[in-house]
Parts: sequence; C-alpha cells; structure tokens
Amino acid sequence: MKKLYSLILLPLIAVFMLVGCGETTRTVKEVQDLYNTMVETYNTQESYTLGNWYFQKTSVAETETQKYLKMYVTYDNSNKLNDATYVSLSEDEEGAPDMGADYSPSDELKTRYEQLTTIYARTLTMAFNYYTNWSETFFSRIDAVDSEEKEITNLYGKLNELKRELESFNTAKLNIEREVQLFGLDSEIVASSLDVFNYNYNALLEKVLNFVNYFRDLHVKYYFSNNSVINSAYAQRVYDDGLLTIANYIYYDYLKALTTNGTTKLVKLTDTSNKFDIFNYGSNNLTKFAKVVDGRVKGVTGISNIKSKLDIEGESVDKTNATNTVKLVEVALNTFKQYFGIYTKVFDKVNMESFNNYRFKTSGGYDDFDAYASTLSPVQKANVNIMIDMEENKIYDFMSSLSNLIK
Amino acid sequence: MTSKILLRIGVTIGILALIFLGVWLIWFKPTNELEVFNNLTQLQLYKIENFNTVEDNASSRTKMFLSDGKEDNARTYSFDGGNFANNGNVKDLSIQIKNYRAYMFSEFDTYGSYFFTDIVNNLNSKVATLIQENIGFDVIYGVMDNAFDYYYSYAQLAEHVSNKDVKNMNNKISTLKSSYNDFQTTYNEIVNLEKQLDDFNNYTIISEITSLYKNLYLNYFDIIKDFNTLIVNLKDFVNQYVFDGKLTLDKNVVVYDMLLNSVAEFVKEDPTLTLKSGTNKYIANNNINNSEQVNEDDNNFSKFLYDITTITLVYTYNCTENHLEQNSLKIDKEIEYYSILANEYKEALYGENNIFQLNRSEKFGLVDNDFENNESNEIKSMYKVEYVDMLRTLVNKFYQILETDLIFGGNN
Repeated sequence: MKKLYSLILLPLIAVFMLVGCGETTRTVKEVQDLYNTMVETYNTQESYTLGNWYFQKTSVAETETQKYLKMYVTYDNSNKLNDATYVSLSEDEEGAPDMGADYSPSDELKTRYEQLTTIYARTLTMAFNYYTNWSETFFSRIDAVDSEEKEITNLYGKLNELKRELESFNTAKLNIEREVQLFGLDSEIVASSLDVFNYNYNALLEKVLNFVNYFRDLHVKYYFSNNSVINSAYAQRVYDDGLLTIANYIYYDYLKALTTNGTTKLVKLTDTSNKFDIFNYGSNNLTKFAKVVDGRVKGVTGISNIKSKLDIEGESVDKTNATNTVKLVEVALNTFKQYFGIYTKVFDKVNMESFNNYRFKTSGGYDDFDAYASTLSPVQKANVNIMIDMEENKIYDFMSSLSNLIK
Repeated sequence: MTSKILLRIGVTIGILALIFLGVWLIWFKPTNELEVFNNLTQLQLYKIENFNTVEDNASSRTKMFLSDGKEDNARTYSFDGGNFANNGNVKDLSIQIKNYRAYMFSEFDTYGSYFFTDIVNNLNSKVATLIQENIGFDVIYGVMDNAFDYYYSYAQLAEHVSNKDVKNMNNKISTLKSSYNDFQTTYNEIVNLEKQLDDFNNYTIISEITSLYKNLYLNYFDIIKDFNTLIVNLKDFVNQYVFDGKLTLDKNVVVYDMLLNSVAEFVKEDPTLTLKSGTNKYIANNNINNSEQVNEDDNNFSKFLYDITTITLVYTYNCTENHLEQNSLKIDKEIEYYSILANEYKEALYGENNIFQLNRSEKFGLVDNDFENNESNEIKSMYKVEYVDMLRTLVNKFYQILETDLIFGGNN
C-alpha cells in the first residue's frame, strides 16, 4: 500500500514543486528599486553635472536624480573617445567627416565611429525616451489602477534583462576605452574591439526596446486606452510613441538585419548612394527628432509649440488645427505600426544575407533588382517587396507625418 | 469464432475510418493558404504570355507593336504616312484604326487631339501634351498593375482562409485570364492579316483589320474591367486574411482606393460610344479641324477617359516618386481628407452617392463654389455640409477640373 501511495504521490509532489517554482511575483516598488539600482551603478566620480555614463538628467536644475533621465552613452573623456565621436560629426572643407588633424583613421574606423555616434546613439535615446517621459506618472498612479501581477512581474523581468545587458555593454565600453587609450583612435588594433562594442550596442538596444515597448503597452492600457481628450499630454504620448516606433524600425531594418553570429556587418549606412536619407546629416528627419548638441545626443526635439496650442482655454482656430494634426499623426502612427507588425513577421522569413547584398552590396551586390529577384522564389520575392516598401516608402511617410508635431 | 469476431471488428473500424475521412475531406480539410497566391503568380506568367505587349520602360505602360515589331509602323495608318493613295475609303478605315489605337495606347498626336479639343484648347501646351501622352487604356492598366503588385505581395501571408473566398478569387482570376486570352487571339489575327498587307490600298484586308481593331479595343476594355474587379477582391482578401479586417489607410491604400473606385465607375461607361457613326460623318467631311462635328457621345467618353487618366497622373507623382517637396500634384492634404472621410463619413466614398459615381457635369457642380448656381447647390446638398469642402478638394485635385495649370503651377 505504501508503495502504491508513493507511486501516486511522487509525481504529484513533482508537479506541485514545478508550479510552485515559477517566476517570483514582483511589485511596483521592486521595479522602481531595480531601476534605481541600475542607474546608480554607473554614477561617476567626476563632476558630470547631468548624471552618469548612461542616464542623464534632463537639466542641471533637476534635483531628484531618478526622474526624467535620458539614456545615452558617454565615454571616459581622458582617452578622447568623446572627442573622436564629437569630431566625427563635423565635416572638413570637402564635406567628409573630420576626425581632427591629429588622427587619420582608416575608412572602416571612421565609419564605425560615425555610426556609433549617430545611428546607434540617437536610436538609443529615442527608444528610451518613452520611459524617460512617462515612468514618473506611470509609477505614481499604478497603485490606483487594477493592474495584473503578472504584468508587473514581466516588466521587472524585462528591466532585469536590460540591467544585465547594460553590464555586458559597460564591460565592452571599458575595453574599448582602454584600447583607445593604449593605441590611439586611429589604430587598427581598435577595430576588432569596436566590432565587439558595436555588437554589444546592438544587444543593448534590443533589451531597451523589449523593456520600453512593454512599458508603453502597459502605459497605454492603463492610462490612455479610454482617453479621448486631445490635450498636450495626449500629443506628447503620441509623439513619444512615434519616436519609439521609429527606433524599433531602425533597430530591425539596419542594426539587427546586419548582425549575425556575434558580429555586425559594417555598412556605411549614411552613404547617400544608398538613398537612406533617414540617417544622413543635414535636415533629414532623424536629425530633426534626435537633438544633437556639440556632437552628443542630448535628448529629443520637443513639441512645445503644438502643446501650447492644445492647452489654449476655450475654442480657437489654432487649437482646432492642432487637435486635427494630432489626430492625423495618431492615424499615421497606428497605420505604420500595423504594417510594422507584418514587416516583423516577414523579417524572419527573408534571407537577410542576400537582401543585404542587394541593398548594401555586402558581397558584390546585384546589377539591379531584376537580377536579385531572379534568384528568389515567388514567395521570397513578395517578402522582399514588402521589406523594400517599408524602407523606401512607409518609413518616410510616417516620419514626414510625425514631423508635423515638431513644427 | 475468434477470427470472425476479429474480422467484424476490423471491418467496423475500416468503415468508421472511411466515414471520418469523408467528413474530414468535405468539412475539415484545411485549405492551402498559399493557393490564392500561387494562382496569382500563375496569372502573372499568363499575363506576360497572353497580353502580348512590350513594356515601355519609361512609364511601365504597355504598347503594341505591329507585325514587324516596329513602333513606327503605327504611323502607317495615318494620313501623313504617305502610304495611302487617293482611296478615300481606305483613309476612313485608317482613321478608325488610329482612333482605336489612340484610346488603347495613348497614341494621340496632332490628329488625335480633336477628341479633347474643348479640354485641351484651354490648357497650356505642356499640359496638353502631358495629358495626351497619358490618356489611354495602357496608362490606366499600368497603374492598376502597381496596385495589383502591392496587394499581391501581401497575399502570401494570408492565414485561415475560407474555401468560399479562395473559390471567389479563383473565379476572378479565371475571368481575367479569359479576357487576356481573347485579347491575344484578336491581336494574333491582326498580326497575321497585316503580314498579308502588301498594298495599303487593299480595302478588303484593311476593312477586316479595322473590324479586328474594334474587337481588340473592346477586349482591352474588358481587361480593364476584369482586372479592376480582381484587384478590388484581392484587396478585400488581403484585408480579411492578412490584416484581420483592419487594414488601415496609408498613402498607398488611399491612392489605390481612389484609383480603383474611379475605374469601377469608368468601366460602367459604354465603350462603344466611341464607335458611333458620328465619327464617320466627321471623317466623310474630311475636315479634321472642325470640332463642331465631333460626336457628343464621343466627346463625353473622351472626357471621362481624360478624368480617369488624370487620376493615374496623380498616382504616378505620389506613389512612384517619393519625397516630393515641391510639386503641385502632391496630395498629402487630400489623403488626410480621405482618411477622415473613411472614418467619419464613409458613404461619401463608398455609398450610393459617392464622389466617384458623379458624372463630369456633377463633378463640376460639386467643385464650383458659386452659391447662386442652383445646379451646383443641388449636387452639394447630396452631401453633409461639414464635409463638402473636403469632398470638393478631393474631386478637384483628382480630376483637375478647374485648376488646369495644376501640373506645372502656372502657364509655361
């Protein structure tokens, strides 16, 4: 009889233990504590008035350090990595990036520095911006809404993954800083460390997007899903969601797409012959959205003009026009997100190596689209057409629409 | 005894299995989700073989060459070609052939412009040339082809498709294939006859060719009609099975919708209007510059064709040339209006009195802002007051009724 009981009981106990050992339920306070811990880890001893290596205050006047912190990468200044990244943004007389008189790095190094300071840096800041602007109100009110335990636990989990990834990233950053100090900005020895750093930057972006996307979904669910009043807060949310959406797209189409097996293929994304205007210097849309001051990303462009019109008391033509603008941008945002959802499904089906070869000539390229298309089955060709449509049409249309909020 | 029981059990199981198999085959067999996409792919190949035309790379429209493959041979049928003797009857026929080719392949030259005299005369010469080069079934077909390609790409992502909708799509594909086939058959007959044409004064053969060109023209019209029906159904299919019925309006969708809705109205028009004897009366008087003798129906159809191909011009500037900063054909505002209407006042775009079903005179009535004009006011009263301005803007832009200098922003 005992044997019979043990035969029945043992599997039951095993099942209970399995269920019992699931993910620990987390509270809102634990999420906030984890975030504060992550931020405090990277405080420096130097007098960076605005914060630490990764999380920066909105302004010097901000006294509560954990509120409204932007995310961008700052380098140890002693090895001139910041100078390189700053200098790479200015141009010499012929319009080429000017690395300064003392340095003459190879084209590959120049391209790496340039892309890390423009595409990666701006995408990171734009991606985290939604959390920057809305975490304060989210956490101050979340106890008043009937949130699900599992959602807060998931949020904690994603933040924890971000924290861990930031640790790996920081290690890679320390390595690159050390090597630049030892060998100089233009040393080819630095190139392979930059490659690793680039790969870690990619991974960091992925975790930031996972975390902030989830946060955004919760924020909308609990605070904006039934909100029909178009005021300045509404407009701000739409705008921040727009920047996050663009960051998601850039990550997928240009960063993730070029990353395989631990390396990020180096492609000069700002090459105008590629027609990737969204990255180029000058007056293109990405520069409009990410605020770049002295070569460093200082946040995102504000929408104060339209917000002030939305906050006008009573009725007015300006207010009506502003309201309509926000409505239309929101439609454009939802439309783009819908197509982006399809795009991410298609992304996994496309042979990225040959697609990159077509659009960036990573292995010699193809004569034209027909030459590339002839290597594809009908289904593959259809998938590629969807990718190309996103790249050449939809992202531009969306960015153009979003830029109506910053006019 | 045991073996009998086993046999009975075996037979029972076998019969039950057959019943289940039958039920599954009839009601539960999953549809092949790529079936529609695969059939559309086959259609693309079929089209290349049976809609036997050559692509004009500059504008992705199709042109037909004659039997020896030289485009210049088209001019064989003109007055100025010098190939015709004094045989007045042959001249009459060649003008008719020229007429059909003009409507099919935008071959409007000095001769062909009489069809649009009252429109073209009011336009500056650059605009007139642009319009005349872009009027024809080939242009409409070309932009519809782009709309088809757009939705076709998404069709392969369809999930959980129903047998009924698959069957519907297959029917539409078959209908279009049949129209392509008819066109190709007629085209081959023309080519064969032309090979026999040593003497351009051969009335008998030229008369047969003329008759075939009439059929070819009607075949092409059918292709436009069936192609449009297919694309509309394809869009619905993609909306249902790829976008879960919630396809939102981005620029492409709006412009394609306007195009497809306009073509749907266009193909309700009677294409044989151009074939009435009024044309022959005009020819008989041998006075091609006397626009008063143009048949009224002829001109109405021509105007309708002008409208629809103006839309294709707008499409070309907005869907194929991106990042336009300065171009009066840009339609960002109109797309916004269309999106608003699609959300708030759908009937104006898709209902019984939608803007696409307005005839030319009614379109003028809607756009005209003369408050004393009873006819205009009557048309405007068909629509909700708060949306009239949006509708006016849409119709005006897409049909360029009043702003004839729209394309070049002024008289050049």
